[in-house]
Amino acid sequence: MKGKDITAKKRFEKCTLYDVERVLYKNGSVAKPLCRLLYCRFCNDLRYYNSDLIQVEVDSHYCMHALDNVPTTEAIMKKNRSRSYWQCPACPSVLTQKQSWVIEENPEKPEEPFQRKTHYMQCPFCHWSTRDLGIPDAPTAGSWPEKENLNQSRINELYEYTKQLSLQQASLSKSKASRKITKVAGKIGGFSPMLLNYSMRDDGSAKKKPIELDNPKTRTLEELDDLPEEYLSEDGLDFWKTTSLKQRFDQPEYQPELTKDLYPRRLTMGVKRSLRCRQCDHNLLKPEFSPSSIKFKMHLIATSFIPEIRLFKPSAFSTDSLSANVFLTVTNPTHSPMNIILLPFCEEENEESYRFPKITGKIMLPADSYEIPAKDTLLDYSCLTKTTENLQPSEDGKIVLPQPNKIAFNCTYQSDGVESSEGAADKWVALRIKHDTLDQKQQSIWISHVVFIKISS
Amino acid sequence: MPKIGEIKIEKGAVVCVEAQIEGDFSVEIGAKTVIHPKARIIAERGPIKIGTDNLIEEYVVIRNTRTEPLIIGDGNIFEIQTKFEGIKIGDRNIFEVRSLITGDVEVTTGCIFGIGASLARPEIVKPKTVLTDQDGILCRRNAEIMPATNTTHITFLHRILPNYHYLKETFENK
Repeated sequence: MKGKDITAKKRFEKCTLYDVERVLYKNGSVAKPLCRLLYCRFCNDLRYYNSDLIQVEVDSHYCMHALDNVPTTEAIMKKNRSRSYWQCPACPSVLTQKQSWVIEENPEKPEEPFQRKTHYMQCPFCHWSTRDLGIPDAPTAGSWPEKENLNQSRINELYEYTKQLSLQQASLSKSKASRKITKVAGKIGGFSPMLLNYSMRDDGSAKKKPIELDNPKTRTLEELDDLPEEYLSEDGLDFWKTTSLKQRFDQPEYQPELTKDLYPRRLTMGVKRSLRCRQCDHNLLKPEFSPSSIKFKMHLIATSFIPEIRLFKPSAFSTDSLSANVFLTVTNPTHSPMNIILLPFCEEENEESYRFPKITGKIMLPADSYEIPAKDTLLDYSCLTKTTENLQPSEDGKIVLPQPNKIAFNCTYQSDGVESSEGAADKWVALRIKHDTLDQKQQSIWISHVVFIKISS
Repeated sequence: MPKIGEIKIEKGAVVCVEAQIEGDFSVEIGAKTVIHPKARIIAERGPIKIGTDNLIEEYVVIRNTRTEPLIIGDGNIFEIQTKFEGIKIGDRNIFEVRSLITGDVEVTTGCIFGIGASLARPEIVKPKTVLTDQDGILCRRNAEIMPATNTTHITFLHRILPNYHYLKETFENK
């Protein structure tokens, strides 16, 4: 499968739609493709998913297979496991419930035996089934016993210990604060003696010693148990009867070594998460609550606000590959007209410049400002029939494409001539795009972004 | 054994006319076996003998590239686009969609070849082995039980296929 991925990637290497890493927008100290950026309408700035400026919040828990909502408290109680679906221990698929009929003898009428329905689970992909493990068939679907965790008591012990410790810490800090209050109260007076008493009592409890936890004792090598016999026998282990590392780490609490110990576990639940801008506390991404809905209440993805720059076709390089003809298009994704200016990029010397692509040359840009008409969804279909061959620039340097909300420029790339020794290296250019947009008060403002473009194939 | 180049279809087998049975050597098809249109059975260098209750779906290629007869047992299922060029097949095996078995492979009983699983090295596949292709890596597992039979599907095809396809003449009708 991995091999197939590489060939697919190579096939689309020249296509900007699939090769999203070709045009990168600078956002803080990283440069990312526009489709992976969010646009905060309130700060008028770009935001990247994993940055410090975005806060991730869990909206709701849901079972990914049954598509049912589970309240957060119940999800924590059930250890984030699905109520009705189980996962195959040998592969990542979801087990399916199968029915079978069992014929039982009827002691009263031997000629009319009973028919009883039983259920078992089977993996549709790797054909692992509960019968493989020797789990008896269940009379009703879903009533499967869960495997008991042998370390559960120890985990509970540790959990209780940390809980008490944190409580003590909290009461300690609270008593410090209350001591201050009593000092102030002593000076000012006016607090009831009850309150003073309470705070003093609180103070006393904090002096309690933390509870002791009996840790398991360390053992020397001689005290360890011997290896099980099957490891030492001459026949050795059957390789196909041992589990893979992936299967073991899938169940960290059991870590089965042999395939006969594989036990199905309940499906892990998924969460719907929303994203929030840390600067202005506004939601950038808010999904609908229902797990079966893939719509969003709010989705401020950058591709629907920021003009998108793309390479129209592969750049035509000169024979010494020092200059090239670069064909750029700028698309207005909004439903209102937009003015854009393309400006040259002035390199800023700072520590983080190593994170950005290395710029290998200059690009000559048109100096004018251009208005791009608004996006018209209905017109998108009619312009599909028009051809895009023999496009000629108009007087002001722009090329009008069949799509009304898209204009193109024919620019020239001039190499710095430094990298000519290693001709195979990628050629990057940078430019600054300035465009107008409406802010929250419906006033027109200008914002600009730095864009890195890979022009070599 | 039938004569060289002869096709012998037992009574009760459903073999569509569009199924391509080719080659210079004889092909025997057992009773109750269903062969869909566009399946190819090629007796290239030796005869092929297919048992009873088998299901051979569309675009399956079964080819004998050896001089010894290729014997296929009973109750096997070849799903769409399976290719088999091995030595021998036992009973009740399942070849899932696009599984590819080339090379000197001998399949015993109750084996399952998962979707897209390919086996090219010489091997005798042990009974009740499950081979699956997970992200390009062939995974093996020894199952404890035999795969389920699907006789209901075969009886359904026996009823439905003759309504929509012309069938090849069986041995008794000749």
